Amino acid sequence: MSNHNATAAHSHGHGEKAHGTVTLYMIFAVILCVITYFEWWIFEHRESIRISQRLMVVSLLFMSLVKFVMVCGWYMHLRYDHKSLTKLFICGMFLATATYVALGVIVHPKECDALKGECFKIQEPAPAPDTSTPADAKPAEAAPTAP
Amino acid sequence: MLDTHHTGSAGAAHAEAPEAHGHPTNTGVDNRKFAMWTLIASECFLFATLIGNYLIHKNRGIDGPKPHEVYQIDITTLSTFDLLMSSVAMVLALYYCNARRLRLFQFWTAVVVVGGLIFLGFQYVEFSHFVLKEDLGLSRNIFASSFYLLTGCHGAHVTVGVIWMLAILTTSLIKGEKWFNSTMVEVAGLYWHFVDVVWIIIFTVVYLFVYV
Repeated sequence: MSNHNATAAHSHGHGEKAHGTVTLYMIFAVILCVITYFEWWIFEHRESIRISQRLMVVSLLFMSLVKFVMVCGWYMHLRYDHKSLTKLFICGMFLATATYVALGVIVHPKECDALKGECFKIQEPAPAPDTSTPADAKPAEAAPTAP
Repeated sequence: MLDTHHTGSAGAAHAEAPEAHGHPTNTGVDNRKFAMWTLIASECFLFATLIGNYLIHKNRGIDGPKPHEVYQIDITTLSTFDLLMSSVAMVLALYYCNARRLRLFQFWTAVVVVGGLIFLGFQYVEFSHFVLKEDLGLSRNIFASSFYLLTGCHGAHVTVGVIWMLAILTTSLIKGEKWFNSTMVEVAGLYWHFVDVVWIIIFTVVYLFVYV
C-alpha cells in the first residue's frame, strides 16, 4: 500500500487523478444554486421579460445540462476516475436518449408541434349523422343500375 | 495488471475494515464501484422511458386538472435546492471519510440523511396537495398516472438512498474509528448523486416545461 497521507486528494487507481477539494466542492455548490435560481427566475418571469418559448426551452435545457455535467464530472468523480466508467455511463445515456427518441417518434403524431404546445389536443367527437327520416322527405333516388 | 491496493479507496497506510478492500480487478476499478456504474447506466434507461411516457401523456388527460393548474413550482424549486445541497453534503462526507475525520464524516452523512428526508417531505406535501386539494389521484387521468409513476419511482430511489446512508451512519457510529469503508461510502455516494442528477432532469423537463 502506498504510504502517503490519507487525504481525499489522493489517487485511487489506474487512470484516476486526484479528487477535488472542499473549496472546489463549495464553489460548485454555489454555482448549482445560482443556476437553479436562474431556472426558477426565467420560469417565473417568462412573460414580463417576453422570452420566446423556444429560447426559454433552449436556455433551461442548457442550464440543466451544465448542472448535469457538474454533478457527474466532479461530484461523481467521473473526471478523476477510470475512463471505462465514463464510457459505461455514456453508453447508458446514449441508450436512454435513443429509447426516448424512438418512443417519441412512434407515439408522436406527425402534425404535432411540440414547441407550440399543440400536442395531443383532445379531438371533439364528430356529430352523429342524423338518421331520422322526416315524413316529407323525398325518398332517396335509386342508384342508377348498370345497363 | 492485478493490484489489490488500487481497489481500496482509502489507499492509505491506516488499517481498514476487511470489507473495505475489493477483489483484484484487471482495470483497477473496484468491482462494487463498477457494478454501481452499471446499475446507474441501466437506471438511465429506466428513467428515460418514464420521462418519455410522462411527456407523451401529460396533455392527454381528458378528465381532471391539467399540469399547469396543479404544479407548485416554488415548492419544487425548494426541494431541488435541498437535493442539490444534500449532494454537496454527500461529496463532503466522502471527502472526510477519505481523510479519516470521523466526526466530520458522520456530520455530513447525517446532513445527507436529513436532506433526503426533507425532500421526501416536500414530495409528500406535493402529493397530498394534488390528491386532497386538486382531486388528482393516481387513477384520475393518464397525466396523473404517468406523473405519479415518474416522481414516485424517483421518490422510491431517494428512500432507498436515505436508508442506505442511514445504515452507513449507524455502522460508523457503532464501530467508530475501526470502520472507514471509503469504497462503500463512494458507491453509496454515486447512487445518491445519480438520484440528484435524475431530479435535475425531472425538474426541468417535467416542471419547468409545463407550458411547453
